[in-house]
Amino acid sequence: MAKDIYTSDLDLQKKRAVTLGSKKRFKREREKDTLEAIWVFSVVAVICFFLLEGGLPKVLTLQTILDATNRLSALVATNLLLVQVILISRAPWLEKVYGLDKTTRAHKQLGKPILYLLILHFASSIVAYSVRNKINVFDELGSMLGEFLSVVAALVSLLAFILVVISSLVAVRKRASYEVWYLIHLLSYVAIVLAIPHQFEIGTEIVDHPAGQMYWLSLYFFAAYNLIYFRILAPFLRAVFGRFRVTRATPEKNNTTSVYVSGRNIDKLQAKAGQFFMLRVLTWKQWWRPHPFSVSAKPTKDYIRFTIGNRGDDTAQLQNIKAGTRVMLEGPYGVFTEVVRTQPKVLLMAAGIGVAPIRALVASIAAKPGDVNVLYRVKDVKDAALLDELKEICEARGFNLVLSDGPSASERDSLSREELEKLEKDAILAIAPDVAYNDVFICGPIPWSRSVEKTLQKLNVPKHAIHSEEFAW
Amino acid sequence: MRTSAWIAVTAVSLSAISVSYAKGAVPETTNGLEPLAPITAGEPTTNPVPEPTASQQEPSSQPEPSSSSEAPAGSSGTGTTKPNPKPTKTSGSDSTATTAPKPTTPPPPPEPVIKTVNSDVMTYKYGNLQLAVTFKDATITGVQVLIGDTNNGRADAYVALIKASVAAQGTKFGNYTGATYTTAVFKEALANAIAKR
Repeated sequence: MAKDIYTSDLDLQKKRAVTLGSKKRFKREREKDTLEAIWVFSVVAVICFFLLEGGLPKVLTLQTILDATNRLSALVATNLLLVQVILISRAPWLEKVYGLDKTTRAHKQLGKPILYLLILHFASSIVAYSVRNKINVFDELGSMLGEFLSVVAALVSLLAFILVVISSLVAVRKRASYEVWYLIHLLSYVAIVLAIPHQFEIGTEIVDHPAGQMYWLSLYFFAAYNLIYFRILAPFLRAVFGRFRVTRATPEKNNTTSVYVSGRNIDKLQAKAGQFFMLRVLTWKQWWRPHPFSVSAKPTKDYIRFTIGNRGDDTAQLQNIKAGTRVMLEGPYGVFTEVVRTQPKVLLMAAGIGVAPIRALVASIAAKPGDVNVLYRVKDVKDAALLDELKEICEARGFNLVLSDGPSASERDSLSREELEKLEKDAILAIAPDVAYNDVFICGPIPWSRSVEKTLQKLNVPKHAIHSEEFAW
Repeated sequence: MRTSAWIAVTAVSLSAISVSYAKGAVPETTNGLEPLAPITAGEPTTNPVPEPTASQQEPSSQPEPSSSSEAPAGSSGTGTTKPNPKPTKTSGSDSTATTAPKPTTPPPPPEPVIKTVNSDVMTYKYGNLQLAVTFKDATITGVQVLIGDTNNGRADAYVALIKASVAAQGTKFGNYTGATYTTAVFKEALANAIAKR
């Protein structure tokens, strides 16, 4: 069984070489800098349009300051909101530079600042008008709501945004179920649409710069295109026309199952070893709730293999998934691949079910015998998924595999941070004494990953050579 | 982002913002409206200063002029507001407008019909607003504010709104920041006058 998988991997890797060296790293840094500069400039452009229109007059009075705050906060918030939509669209052009976990994190981080700007816009607009009309803010709010229906819609939109941000706070997300969070989060799309009419009815400038109008129009369309096409349409169409379905589900060890997905043109997805897909099982219960799973073998022309550990929740049901079940695949995502590798020597570290992408990398990584070391951490050897395959491939390719078992750090309360670090250092140095000159790929539970990352930095491994992706969010 | 890139981006951003401010914050902003100015050499668009005040204009007399039979250019619908020199100047330029285009326009078309229509008196938050809209055939060549509050910068708003309505030949223009309600009622009155034409 394992044989047929990795031999095809080996065939593939023989034909491929991989670019290494610091030049590659700088190229990636340049890509990131460019994208980040573009989004900073998009905000700057909005501010410039505003100023060119005479948004901030030479003479500053309370009135002009309030007016400027009102408009500027709205413009910047709208711009950032559209950036946020693009970040969550999972567009490949963005994702392949940062990885899905980083774009999602940026999306999350923008949430609160945008809300603050929206509240500032709301407050300053009401105060600005009430100062001008010399009435109190509540009368002003009432009169605006009475006069303009679009303002009512915008207020509803603001309330929806507040709800969305509250539901996404870490403290709330821990308590509320995924379902509640998800449904509330869908509100944000409604909120974006509800806010549009007031932007047109009373938010436009009488003499808009044509360039400014063009800018906003293109930004709205660009965000909508990315979201609708990449997030929804592309995976849907691929699943429908490719008739993606589970063809086989093989139990591996205790609580792990390998699931094979096949379909027409499945090789066109061009998944690389180390990448993952959002797997959407198209049953009535689960279709709206996708889960990320790593490809656990180099994808072939006929199927993509995932190895799924039982972590409770939906992954428990996936252990018994029936052959023939229709699925949707969103992806491939992630830069936990050779794309980020710059050194000839590589240390691969897996813990628990994090072995899946490591297994794929071991088979297809371009390396000479002895250049790759694999450290596999499990609680119990009996539960070590894919161990036989790993052993076989490492033997065939001349890689060094070390398995370490025992209870995890969190289960051994007696262990202090120093002691744990010492253990980790010893384990790493035993297998890769020259770890400072390695690319290190880490995949496992988050607490373990964090701990290992810290230890690696103590061992002088540069940050850019440590690659770790979060799969739980 | 790398530090060097960050410094570069910040420098470019700050200079762009300060240049924009320097250009934009000049007391008299140049709006991109000039190219859109009407055939009447832009004259009427600059003129209609909203001098007529609400106090002297009794709404009772107003609803009627909607008959607007004053087709011959001269007097225009502003007959009642003659006390102010400026509106008459406007009507004067209107009359020149009737003669001016003749040499330039090809001979066959018939005499353009100049017509001024008064809108209904619109009541809103800040009092009343009434407009007189001058048409040459179907083209809006000028707008005057017959009744309208001029406090709190609304006078400036009228100037901009008139420009915009001539440029847009209708109500399809944006909002005048700081005069949102006035913009809304101005559009209402303009639409009313256009409908009556």
